[in-house]
Amino acid sequence: MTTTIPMAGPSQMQQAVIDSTQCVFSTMLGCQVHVVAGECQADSLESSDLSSTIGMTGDITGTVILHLSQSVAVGIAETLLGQPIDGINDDVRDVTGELANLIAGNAKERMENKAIVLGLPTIICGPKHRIFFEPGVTVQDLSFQTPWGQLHIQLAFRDTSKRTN
Amino acid sequence: MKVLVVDDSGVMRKIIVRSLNAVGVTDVVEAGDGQEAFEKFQAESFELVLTDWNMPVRSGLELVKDIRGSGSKVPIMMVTTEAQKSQVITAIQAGVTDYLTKPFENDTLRKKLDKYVAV
Repeated sequence: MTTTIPMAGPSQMQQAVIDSTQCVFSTMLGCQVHVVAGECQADSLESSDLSSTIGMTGDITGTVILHLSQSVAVGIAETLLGQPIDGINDDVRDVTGELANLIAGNAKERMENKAIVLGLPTIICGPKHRIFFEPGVTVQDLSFQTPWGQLHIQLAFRDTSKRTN
Repeated sequence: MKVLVVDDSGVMRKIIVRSLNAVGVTDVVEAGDGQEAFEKFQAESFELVLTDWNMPVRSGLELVKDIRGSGSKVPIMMVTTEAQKSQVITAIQAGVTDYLTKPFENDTLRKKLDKYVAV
C-alpha cells in the first residue's frame, strides 16, 4: 500500500530518484524512460524476477529497491554489454545490482543538503518474489516505462525523528 | 600499456575494459575489491589504475592510499558515483589524479583514457 509522505526529505528523495533514473538510462543506455502515472500495483511488483536493495543511512534512513522482470533485466544487460544474453545469468544479476547502485548513488548526489550514506547492493533473484516491510516504514512506489518494459522502484523510509535514544 | 581495472561490478569492469580496448589498450588486469587490487598491483607493473570507490573488503580510497603509501606515482582514475565536492577533494588529497563520476557516457571515458594512452 502506498502512503502519503509528509516528510520533506523523502519527497525530495523521490524526485531525486526520478531524475537519477532518467539520467542513468540516458547516459549509460542511450534511451529515455518515463514515469508511469498512478500507483504501482502489487501484481506488477510480483512479476519481478530480480530485485536489488540498497540501504540508506544518515539524514534519511531507508532502502531503495529496484524491481526488474527477466525481459527488462536481460534487455538492459544486452544493451550495456553489447552482446546477446540468454536468460538470467551472472551478468544480468550484476547489472541489476549496478543499476540500483547508479540510480541510488546519483539520487544521493542530487540531495545536496542531505548527508546520506549508501550501502552495497543486495540482489534477490526468483520468480514472483515479494519484499515485505516492517510496520512504521513508509513506502513510495515508482514505475518507469523503458524500451524493454516497465521497471519499478520502491523507496522505503523509516522515520528516525521518533527515536528516543 | 598495462592497466588495472578495479570494480566490484563485473559488468562495470566489462564496460571499462571495452572502452580501454576501443582506445587500443588490451593488456588489462581486473580486480573486484581494493585488497585484491593491491595484491595484483604489488605483483605486477601498471601504467594506469582505474578504481571504483565503494567496494567490499577494501575501498577504492583505501587502495589509493595503499598505492601512494608504496611510493608509486602511477596515475589513478577514480570512477565512482561519489560526486560531492568534499569527496572529490578527499580523493585528490589521497592521491587520485583523475576523477570520473558514474553514470558516464562511453565517449567521456574514452576521451579521458586517450589522455593516458597518448603519453
